[in-house]
Amino acid sequence: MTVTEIGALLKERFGEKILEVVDDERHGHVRVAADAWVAVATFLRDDPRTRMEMCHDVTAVDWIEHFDVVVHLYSLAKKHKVALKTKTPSRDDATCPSLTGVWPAADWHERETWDLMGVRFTGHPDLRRILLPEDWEGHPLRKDEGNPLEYHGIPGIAAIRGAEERLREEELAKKKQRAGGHPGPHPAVGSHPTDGVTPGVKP
Amino acid sequence: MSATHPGSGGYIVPTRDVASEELVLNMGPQHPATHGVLRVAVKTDGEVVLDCEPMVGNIHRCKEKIAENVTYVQFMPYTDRLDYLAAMNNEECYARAAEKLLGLKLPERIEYLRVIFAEAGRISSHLMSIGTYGLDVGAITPFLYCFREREEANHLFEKISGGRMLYHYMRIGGVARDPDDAWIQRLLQFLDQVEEKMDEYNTLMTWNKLFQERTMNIGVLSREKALAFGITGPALRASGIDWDCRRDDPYGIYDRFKWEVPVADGKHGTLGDCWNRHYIRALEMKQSISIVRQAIDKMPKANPDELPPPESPHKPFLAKGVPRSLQAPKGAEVYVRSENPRGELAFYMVSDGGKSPYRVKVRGPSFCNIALLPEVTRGYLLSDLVAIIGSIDIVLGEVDR
Amino acid sequence: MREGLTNLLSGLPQWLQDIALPVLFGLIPAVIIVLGVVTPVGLVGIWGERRIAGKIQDRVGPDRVGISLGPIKSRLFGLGQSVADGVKLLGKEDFIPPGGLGLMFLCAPLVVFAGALALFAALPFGPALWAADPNLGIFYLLSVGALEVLGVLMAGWSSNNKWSLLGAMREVAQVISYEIPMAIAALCPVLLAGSMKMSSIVADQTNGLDLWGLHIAAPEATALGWNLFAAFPFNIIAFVVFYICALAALKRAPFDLPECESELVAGFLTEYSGMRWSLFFLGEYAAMWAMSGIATVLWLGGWTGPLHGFLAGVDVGPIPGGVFFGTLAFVVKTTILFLLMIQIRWTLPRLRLDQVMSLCYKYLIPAAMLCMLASGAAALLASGGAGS
Repeated sequence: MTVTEIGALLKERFGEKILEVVDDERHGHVRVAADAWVAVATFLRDDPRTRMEMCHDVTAVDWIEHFDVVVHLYSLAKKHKVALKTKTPSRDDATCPSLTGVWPAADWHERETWDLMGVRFTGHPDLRRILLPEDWEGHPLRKDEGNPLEYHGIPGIAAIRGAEERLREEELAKKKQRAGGHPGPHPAVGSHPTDGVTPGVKP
Repeated sequence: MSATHPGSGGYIVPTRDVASEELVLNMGPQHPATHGVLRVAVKTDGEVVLDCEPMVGNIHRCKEKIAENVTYVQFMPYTDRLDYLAAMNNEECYARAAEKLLGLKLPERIEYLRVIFAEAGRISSHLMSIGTYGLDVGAITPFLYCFREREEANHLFEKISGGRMLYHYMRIGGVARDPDDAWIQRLLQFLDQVEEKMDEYNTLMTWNKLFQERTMNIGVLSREKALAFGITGPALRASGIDWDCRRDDPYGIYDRFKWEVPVADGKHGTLGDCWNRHYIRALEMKQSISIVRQAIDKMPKANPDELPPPESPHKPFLAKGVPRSLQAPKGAEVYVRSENPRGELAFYMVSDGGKSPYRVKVRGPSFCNIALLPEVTRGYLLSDLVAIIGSIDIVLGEVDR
Repeated sequence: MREGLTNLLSGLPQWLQDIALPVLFGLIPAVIIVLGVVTPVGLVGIWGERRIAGKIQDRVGPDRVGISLGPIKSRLFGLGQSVADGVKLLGKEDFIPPGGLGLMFLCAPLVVFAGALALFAALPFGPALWAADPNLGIFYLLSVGALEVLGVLMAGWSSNNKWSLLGAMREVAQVISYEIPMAIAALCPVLLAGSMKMSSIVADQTNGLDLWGLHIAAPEATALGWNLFAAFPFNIIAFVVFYICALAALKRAPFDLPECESELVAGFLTEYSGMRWSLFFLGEYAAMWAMSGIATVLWLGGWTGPLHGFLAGVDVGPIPGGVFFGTLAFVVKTTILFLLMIQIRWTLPRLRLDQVMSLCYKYLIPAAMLCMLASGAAALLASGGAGS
């Protein structure tokens, strides 16, 4: 079945809970209202016409105002696929019903999505951080999340970059001082290896 | 008085009147059998595993965040570091995802090169996993034999890409370099060598009575569980499910080759046990060898109109018309998967019209497969736990990303 | 020399002489001989294992460390590797795990090494070439060989490490189980010889073949008198059982569960470092060789056989030919068994604990029992039936 056919099937069964069916050459998906999320998933799994046995992936996309939760489903028996999408109510209320009851495979994917994106899956039996340490603050894949400055005394990349820049400025200042007395290094050669421009080769 | 512990292993542990408590073992992150930095908290009664919990994330680098901050082209080397034992396959999958997102068409020769390198990468990766599995069950020599052959694969990849492990060979819209005839000849020799030595490994491991005793009927993964937990790759086929997305959802030009998908039939051991997972890998290598040979036979010469030779040896070998600066249409999204040595790798990419992807999600097969560990280890012995982890064959670079 | 020393000591008080004489003429030479044998055996054994493993695995192995004395420069096939490693290990930190039982932790490797050392005391290398030949020789050897379990249990218990403890538990379960079939198998030659004395067991193997009451006289050089062929084919089975049990008692692969590196990190060795760690290995290799020696004495005729039988009359310089070629024969046979142990290790995967146990109790013990019964019957037939 194509995504359009699956979408028609779902529309017939769930009516206006199916918000949108997109089937372009790149990606086919069905947008579902959040309150029908689990029901649609269960239907897709159990209906003999669809038989989506495999939950391939659960993830989320940050669209600033809200999050899109995306699930990719495959049927090995029928050899077809569909993606389901739903919106979280808002950015602050980033919740979505959990699919762990439908496919156990969703367990770790949802934990990962919670960990990295901060989408809370209601009904998940064990929603803990999975990749990041327990005491980590924030959800790094959110668009407003910057680089952390430090974690337990380990400087973050932002702190390291700041320190590097300071060092580079100091180095440049020293060079300027020396350049006053005698000719300094070739002007094209910077203090940092990546700044160096070898003549003849275009950067 | 005795009681059978819950779980499929069914070892009998006597219930005692003396006060006793469970032993919690912390296996890893620095443990020889956890294939990197996996940490498993194991609750045992003596040697019997009552429960275990894999704790991942020790080498988490947030690759998906990195992807949002670099361009499509710049993210390619990062994909090498996902499943670092099968870097070619990761690159192939990412390149295809990006090409689909950007709407690029590939010349024939590039398609064939993709297949050749992906399958050679699979052989190299399976050599590694078969070898280390021997190490897990205590056979040290097969490991070194497998490395002898993998070394040749490393030489080949080094010659063409400059890297022995992390190649950065595939490019969006092409590859890094066009292999010459001498290289192809050497690849064919390598295939002959592996084919010949496969029998040696099978004698030392697959058909070895001790090896079978250790791995047969251990860590049995039923069909239903395999499906429900989203297991993919050799582990899925070892459970008797005839599914290979190279054949059943063909991508690239895989539909042009003739090969068989090895599926466990339960003639030896139990369907879905460790031995079958190992054996499927050994069989897959033979099929990959056949695919590479077919691809080399059929591969056309480069057509200069669509695939011009690079201006200098430092330039990649790209199809004509691949823009220097890649930009996908706004709102475009793709979900592309490929059959990696460890299962199905998938990239979900969303574009907002900018020069870098808006969102990249990597669906690592090892991540999904290792989630199953508690389900298949309960009730087995500690030694079996090691055998099971080895047979699932995870790479932590991909689990943690 | 002995008289000279005795005269020298005669000036001392009687009680001091009573102590000094046995120490001087008994203990000190015995220690020198035994240590002079055990340590080189251990060092060469470790080097040999690594070289052979290299050959088996299609790589080179340690081949660099030799000697360099002025003009004499030789790699000596890397024979110096063990010495160099020993020096390196001496320089390592002697780590004692906090929270463990310090003294027990320190003593454990000594106990293991002492067990291996004591094996050599009653091992007959050649005709009259032994430190001691007690009447209960084989009994002594089997019991002293079991001392190692104690050391390993001490190591595992005192390390304050769960992996160590699991390794020690495995060791105790495994080795104690395997001592049973081992001792029963060793009883077969004892029954045939009618003695537990090692030299008597060897001497018994020069009389030709007793085949279920039929005596075939054959010269020593044909090796037909070896216990291996006695009560045919039961002693061949007994020999194999003994050899398998020796592998298990020595924790050699495929029975290396107590220290299996892929499951228990390093088992009871997890917390050991430096010289104490290497003492375990020295002990292991020495015990391997000694166990092979015991098997040689019990079934392969000890120093007797073709080499000794043909060349006993040919003196080598001041050494009588019987001693020289007898010792050579013993060393060759023992070393072949030793090398076989190494080859087995690098070929086979490891067994699981329950499989190790079921192999012992379900197969080896009944097999050993059967062999013992058959050997007893054969001994009776050879001596002309009961009552005679």
